[in-house]
This record gives sequence, C-alpha cells and structure tokens, in this order.
Amino acid sequence: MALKYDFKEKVKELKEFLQMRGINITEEINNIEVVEGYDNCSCHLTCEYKNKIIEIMLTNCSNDTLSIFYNYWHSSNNNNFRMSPVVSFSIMDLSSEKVMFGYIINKSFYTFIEMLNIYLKNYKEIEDGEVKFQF
Amino acid sequence: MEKLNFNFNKRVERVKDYLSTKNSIFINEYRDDKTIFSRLMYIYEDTLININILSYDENSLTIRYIYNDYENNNNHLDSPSLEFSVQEIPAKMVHFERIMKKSFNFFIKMLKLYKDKYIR
Repeated sequence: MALKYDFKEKVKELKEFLQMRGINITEEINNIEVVEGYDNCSCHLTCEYKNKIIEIMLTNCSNDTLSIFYNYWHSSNNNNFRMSPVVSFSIMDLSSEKVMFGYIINKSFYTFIEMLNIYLKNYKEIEDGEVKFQF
Repeated sequence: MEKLNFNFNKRVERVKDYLSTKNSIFINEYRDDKTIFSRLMYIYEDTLININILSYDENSLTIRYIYNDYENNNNHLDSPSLEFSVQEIPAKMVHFERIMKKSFNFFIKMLKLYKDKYIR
C-alpha cells in the first residue's frame, strides 16, 4: 500500500528540526523500498547532542502515520564500559500532518532529552579503573 | 536451552521479591525456557509495566523495563512507549541485584518525567 505522504519530506522536516537546534547529524542511512506491495521506509540518523551520541530512527507506520524512536546507548559513548544501559523513547503512531508532526517531534525529542539528562546526572563514572555502575 | 553458568530462575525470583516490596501488584508471567526469557507484568502505582529478563550470554543477563501507553488505555493517538534496559549484567547475584534495583528506580524516574512532561 502506498503512503499518503512523502516520506522524504518528513525526513527533511525532522532534519531541519534537529539542525535548527544545533544538533549535529554525523550519519544518515535511508532505506526506501516496496516489500510485497507495501512501502517500507526508514531513516536512521546518528546525532551528537552535547557531545553525546544519540540515535534517531524514523519509519513509516501506517499509510498515513510514522514512528520515531530515540535511543541513547551507553556503550556507543563509552567503549570501556562492559554493560550497556539503553535509554529509549518512542512514538509509534505519529501523524504525518505537518503541524502535528512538528508538534510531536518537538515534544517527544525534549521528553527524551530530559530522560537522558536524568540518566547522565545520576550516572557516575568508573573510578580507579574499577567498573562502578551507578545511576 | 542454552547452558548457563547461573540459575536464571533465581534471578527472576529475585526481581519478583524486589517488586513485592515496591507497592506493585503482580499480574502475570510469560516464560519461555527455550530462549531463556521471562516477561513479568505488574501494576505499579496504577500503571501497567512490563519487565523482560533474558540471558545475554552464559554469564550475564539483560533486563528491560517497558511502559506502553496503549496497554494503559490512555488513548493517546500517537501511542508513546518508553523503555530502559541494561544489557550484559554480570550474573553474580550481588551485581545483578544492585543493577536490577538501580535500573528499576531509574525507569520509575523516567516514567514520572514522562507523565509530567509528555502526557497532555
């Protein structure tokens, strides 16, 4: 089933939102294909927010909605750390209508960032080479 | 079933013991012994949450705390979901217990923030 919106246009709107807030996009992987008659679209952005690497994935959900996933992988930000905590927030059924799309992107992004800030505030680094997982 | 160097069931029971002290109501458990997976469903302060516990390798585990808006009948059309997970937790009970407790409490902070900031 064909999408009722232009997926590339939604990616553009998301990137503009991020760039306007000074977020550096370091990698972008797009996949747009038709599988068994259904559009299958995804855009994976690797971003830097205040020196932290965050992953944002935009995909189609139904033919007129999208899903967005925000992830922070501790292991992507600290290679010496064995365990990998992951902070995730997602919106599964995001309207493609431009105003609502922008509104939810703004709200969900800042909710995720606040969750991340709580995590980072409570996290304590490794001391004297010993792994001390505390948050 | 993968051969583990620890008792998976004991770790699951430890999670249940801890949740029983946290003003939560146990709803049900889905267990798959083939893949070494347990999903615990709880009501925590009127909110339905899922806790998935699974083996990472023969010496470690992964724990995931999940809140799905659609499971809580909140009827938000955009269907938000939040999750906090820790992968590769050492199976040694003292480490597992410490990280399980801290990660649960962090997840609850995330959940409170979500309710304060996101739900309109």
